[in-house]
Amino acid sequence: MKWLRRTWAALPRLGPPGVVWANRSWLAMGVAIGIVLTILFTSGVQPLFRESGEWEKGKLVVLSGRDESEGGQRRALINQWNAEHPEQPAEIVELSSEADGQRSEMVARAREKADNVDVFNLDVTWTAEFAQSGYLRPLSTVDTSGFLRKPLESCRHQGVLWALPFNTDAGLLFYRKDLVKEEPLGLDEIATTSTRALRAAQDARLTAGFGGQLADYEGLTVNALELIWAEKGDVVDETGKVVIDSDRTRRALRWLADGLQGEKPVVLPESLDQTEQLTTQAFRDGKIVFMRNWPVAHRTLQGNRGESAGRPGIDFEVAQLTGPSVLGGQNLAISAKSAKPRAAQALIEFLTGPRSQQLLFERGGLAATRGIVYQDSQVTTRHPYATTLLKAIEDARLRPVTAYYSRFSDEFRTVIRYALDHDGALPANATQVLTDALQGR
Amino acid sequence: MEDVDQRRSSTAPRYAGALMLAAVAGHLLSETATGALATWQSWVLYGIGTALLVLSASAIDRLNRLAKRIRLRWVVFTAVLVVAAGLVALAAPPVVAYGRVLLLGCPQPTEVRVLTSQDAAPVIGEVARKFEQHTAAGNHGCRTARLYVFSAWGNRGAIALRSSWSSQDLKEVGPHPDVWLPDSTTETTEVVRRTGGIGSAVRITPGESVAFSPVVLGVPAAIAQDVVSEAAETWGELFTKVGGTGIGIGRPDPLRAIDGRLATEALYESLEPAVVERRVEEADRPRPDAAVITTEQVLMRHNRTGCARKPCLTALYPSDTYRADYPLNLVEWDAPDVSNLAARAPARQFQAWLGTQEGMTALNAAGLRPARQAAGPEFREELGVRAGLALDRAEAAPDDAVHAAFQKKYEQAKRDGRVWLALDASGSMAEPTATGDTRFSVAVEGVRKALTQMGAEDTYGLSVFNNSEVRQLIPLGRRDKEAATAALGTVQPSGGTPLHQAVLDGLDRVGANDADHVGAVVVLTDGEDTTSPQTRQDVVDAVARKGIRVFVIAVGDASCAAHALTSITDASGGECRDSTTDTLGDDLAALFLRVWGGTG
Repeated sequence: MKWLRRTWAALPRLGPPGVVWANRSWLAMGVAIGIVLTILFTSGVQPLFRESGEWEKGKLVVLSGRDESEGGQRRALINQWNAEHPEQPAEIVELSSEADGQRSEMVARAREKADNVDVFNLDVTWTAEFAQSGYLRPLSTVDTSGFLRKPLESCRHQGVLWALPFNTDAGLLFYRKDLVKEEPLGLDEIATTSTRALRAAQDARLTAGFGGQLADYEGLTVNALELIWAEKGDVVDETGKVVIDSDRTRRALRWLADGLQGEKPVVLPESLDQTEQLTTQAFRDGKIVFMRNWPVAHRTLQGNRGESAGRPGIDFEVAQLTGPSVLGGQNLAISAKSAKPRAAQALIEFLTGPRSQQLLFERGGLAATRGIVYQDSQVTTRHPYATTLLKAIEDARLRPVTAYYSRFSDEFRTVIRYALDHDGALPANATQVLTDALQGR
Repeated sequence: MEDVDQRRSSTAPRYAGALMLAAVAGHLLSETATGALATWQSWVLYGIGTALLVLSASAIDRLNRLAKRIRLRWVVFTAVLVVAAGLVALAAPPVVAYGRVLLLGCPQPTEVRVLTSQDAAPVIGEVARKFEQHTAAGNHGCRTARLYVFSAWGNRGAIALRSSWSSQDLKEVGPHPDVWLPDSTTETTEVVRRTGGIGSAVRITPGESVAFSPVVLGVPAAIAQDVVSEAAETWGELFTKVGGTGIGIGRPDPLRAIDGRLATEALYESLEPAVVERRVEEADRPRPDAAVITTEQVLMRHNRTGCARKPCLTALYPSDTYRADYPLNLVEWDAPDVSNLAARAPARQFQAWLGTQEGMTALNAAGLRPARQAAGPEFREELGVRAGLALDRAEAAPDDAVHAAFQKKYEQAKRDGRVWLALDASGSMAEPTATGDTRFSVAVEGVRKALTQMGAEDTYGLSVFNNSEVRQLIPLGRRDKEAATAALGTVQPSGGTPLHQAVLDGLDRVGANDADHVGAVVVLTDGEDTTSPQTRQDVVDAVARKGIRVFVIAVGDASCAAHALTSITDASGGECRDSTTDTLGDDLAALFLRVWGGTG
């Protein structure tokens, strides 16, 4: 402290000789010069080093599953982008239609050193894995207003926004209008209505009450979760704890296991080998009263609504599932390695923007992630289920969020298949196995 | 001196500790601001690190005083340092790894892509799961590799490898494989030769066979009782015997499936090729009430899972049979953006593991026979197979020279193709494609191209369908290739899609298969059925009853999977193929080639 005092005392002597610096005014001068220099530096020099806001030039590579929209609407949108932005043309590298295969190729490419991808089109269940592995670049300064809450939630992981929702999806309950008087409110009502319809035998083609996707693939995970949620049971709670071992869960699984039994079963036994398309087929052929399926089935069924040339028509209605649906869909994220993050972000914002979302839904049949699209009259006339779907998406729940989702899903299906063989009973180590799977073990 | 030391020793650690705390606080602020400390686990890790730092800073002085009492302290200090460094170097990686697993979960396993055949996919998938579990054993329960097992139809995988995995293959077959596990070593030779050149993006290291499965004749259990004898019998003898009972004998396409080819090669050795060809039907998988040529493992799996109606199939083992020998080839990609270098080590590990006791047991349990181990308890009579084998041949497959001669013989012996072609002329076919032509004109061009594939004795007929009618344009029996284009030129697409009706009509017109002819119905559609009176089930039943192969090409809005068109084609060993307007011509040509049995 002494040296400071000494310096302070010596200050007046430090001015240039011959000039009288009264009252240490050189100090004020210094401050003034300092301020001027600072202003000059911040406004003149610093901007030279700051990142520019312009989009980088060059090709943007989008890694995505196959375009399964009607008439290739995604490709049409990309063409439109390319026409408007010839300096940042986008190219979709299409991967196989099987989700596991897509993931495999995306992960392998993400681990390469080369800058080989700019945008990933990720399944909603992969956000955690890709974010945690460092394959993604967090999105900043993005306007997320206008997106539906649930799809946007699937883009966040641990409080950070990693993607924007490209398209969304939720399961719906399709039912035969001629056999069902009012929308069922629970699994028990589905069972009683089915049994009544089967007994009354109004329709000779009817073989069971309810059909879903119970073959051993992601469909079983989705269907089982929804049935458990419908009975107000749960598998993994909000804190990430496995809570499958409860009476409500067991009741849901028993409903399913028992439903598959018998001469006129409540649940179509063929469901155990069915994927989305085969269930649609069963419903269309009049074999079942209720069907759980994604809204895309509406497109196929619509053509069979009326009677045509001797084949009885299927008069059906669409409702929400009796419990929350699983949230489906895909999100667009920027690769951490991309050398063109600003252009990539612009492309993502273009693809998820209101106009693109409108086109993708209206023409392509891919459910939009923006609420405003559902109010459009053209959309609602072309897709009459839109209002129901919007409600289903708002009530939907995410599948358990973990960076090891595919492991979890595998183990969960093993548990469910055991339960189906054992009248709804869970294997003794179910909780332990699922807890381990959430940790990747 | 003493005084000064005393004072320093009392304040220095406090300063150091305070300084450290200040640094930590600053760092903590910046970390939370960027969102790096988002989980409770990361907070715990941060806490531990901070405590260590502050404690060591405050303990420096006390250690210093302690050290001054030691003689030769520099020597001791160096020794302690060396020992400590050694300990840390040895213990740190496992301790850190374990701590990481405890707090943050397992590191993501390395992705390894395994391409195999459709027949082998279930078996290899099962074995791959066991390997994954094995990698977890020495690694705190965390798997180090994830094997994505996928398959391609027929020899599609080999073709894709030969063309260095084009973007079309990426879309239709799957990701770039790191391991290629085909049915037979004979398949690898050609691919390895073609991809070995300089400048090729793919390098295939051929590996040894991991296990084998003999090609067998699967017969329904009821018939097996009559034909089984104690003596060893050859393919020719068994074929004649089973053929004598009157049941159908299914065989996978010998030009594309290895089991079909190996069996046919053995059959041609003792029987006239024409006799064999008049007797077999094409079948990709076992059907009820018919015999089938297949590998032992496929039959076993069918008996275990896919067989709804007992009795199932019993395997007959011809003494002169060949075998599928499943070589494991390592595939390396040189392109910098798809090389997946990380997969190379686990791919080798997988290869090595398959040779260990554990690996062989896994192969055995899945239904394959490892070369160096006897068949396990899985090979039971209830599953239609026999544990003990007495095979005459030492080699797994005949050599290449025999194969070339075989192709020629097969070409001459096979039955002539009769194809009924039905084209969708509904309104949606009038939609323009990317090139500006309508879908219909693209289809007509595809048909023209496909007809050039016709063999010398093959014939075709043609109809179009729309609204609720199927219109015949060219009657069956024509060989005139230009007639189709001319007739189709007059068609104006409009109206609905009576797809089911078109298939049923085609089945009637093409007629039953006989000794010299084999028929097929090829339908090209761009939409789901909208106007047929018949249901999908009616069509499936009719196709199964007549046993005529149906092929569907889906373009535009139609999709094999989405509209379950495969349920029609599967009923008779046909195929549904998703096509785009760009690839329509090639797809049609490939299909006709298959129907007309060209060498492709």
